[in-house]
Amino acid sequence: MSNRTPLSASSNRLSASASSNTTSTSQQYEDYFSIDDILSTQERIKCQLLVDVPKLGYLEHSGSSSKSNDDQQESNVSAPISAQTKLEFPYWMVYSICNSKTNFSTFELPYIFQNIQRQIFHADSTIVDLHKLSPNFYRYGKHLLQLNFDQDEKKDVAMTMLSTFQQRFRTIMDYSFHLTSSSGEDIAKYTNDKFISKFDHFEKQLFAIGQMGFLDYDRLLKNETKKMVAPGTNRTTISDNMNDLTNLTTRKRKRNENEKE
Amino acid sequence: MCKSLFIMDIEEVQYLSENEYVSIVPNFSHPVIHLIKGSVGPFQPTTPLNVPLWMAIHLKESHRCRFICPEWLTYDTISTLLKAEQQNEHFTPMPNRFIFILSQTIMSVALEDIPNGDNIRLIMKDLWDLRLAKLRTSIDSLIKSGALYAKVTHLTTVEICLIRNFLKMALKQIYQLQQVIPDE
Repeated sequence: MSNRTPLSASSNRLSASASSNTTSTSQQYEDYFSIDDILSTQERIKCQLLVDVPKLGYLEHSGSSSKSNDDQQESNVSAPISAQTKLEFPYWMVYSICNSKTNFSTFELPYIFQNIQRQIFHADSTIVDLHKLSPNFYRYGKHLLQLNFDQDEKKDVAMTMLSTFQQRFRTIMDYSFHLTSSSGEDIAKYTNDKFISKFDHFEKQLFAIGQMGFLDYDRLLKNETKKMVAPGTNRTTISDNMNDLTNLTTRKRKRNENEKE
Repeated sequence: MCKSLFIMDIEEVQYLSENEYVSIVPNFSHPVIHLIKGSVGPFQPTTPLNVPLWMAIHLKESHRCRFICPEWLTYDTISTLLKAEQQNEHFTPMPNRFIFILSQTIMSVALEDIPNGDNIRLIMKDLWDLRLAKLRTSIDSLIKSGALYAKVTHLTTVEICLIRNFLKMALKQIYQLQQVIPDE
């Protein structure tokens, strides 16, 4: 599975780039190798098929009777999967079967983007635990908007994402500019903080970048900036490795010479 | 200010700040030294002259000179600046675009040459905190407004350096989120 996923995700990107929408294309190319981006296309979406699909009956595991014996499983393999079946597909597959050209299924918006959750975001987005609900909230949302669903709802989802970020921004900024007093500590330590643990992945990155600027200033105040640091902290190990390598090759050469003799 | 666009991190800001001139009083004599940026000297004992900060630091560390406190680093100047900053809603112009970094460098090298140095350090910290609070408020309102650019004046290089990457990332996110809003 893990072997297959990046491939399928990238094929999704290719088909996206073939579409005429230039703005989304340039955005997608930017994130082409981004692991976060690939991961955010793995989220599952509840779908309902509109057509019969032959030979895919085995996908419908739980739907068939649980008492299935071997014969039944064999027959399931070649059986068609019928329309109106409800299944969960990863985003990258939904993207292919559920756009304006290929309308093979309908899908349900993920809970985090549904109307009831959108109202919570409008009320106060700062208290929502994005990390728990959708660790790649913004990326996932941006992907979802490429799917084919109601235009008004689409707009509402997009506006919700924007205002969510704008509202939550102040918290992120305040945190990244304030925790520096205990400088030198690992940024990862703060991930257990009760507010920072609510940030989604992008927000955490933003927080870390803000912190880096302030840690730099902290170093300035402590007169640590002038200390010359060797480029690449593991410089010694590299030279050690080189030594090992040369030792190895000379030993090998000697052995070869011995064998020749 | 356009030079500051090329400054990457705080080390480079500090490096560039050391090109600023300061006045020192040497205790040795030496003919003029010709440098790429200009000639320095001649050095005469007890005669004040302007040298680049990096040279001043070097001379000070080998006990060959003493600093003359720059005009912008006196207690009176800084407290006037602080008052102006408190009264003004916007940023007020600083006497030097490297002021925070220079004061830090000078006071770490030659604290004894700066009269009232410890108090200046305190008041500088107040000034910094005040400006930072203003900076945070204005960044927040920029993000909330959804605009992708804003005109800022009188920011010092360190302040720009601090927020550059952070703001860049946030603004990019805003831009991308605005792009995906479907048109009517």
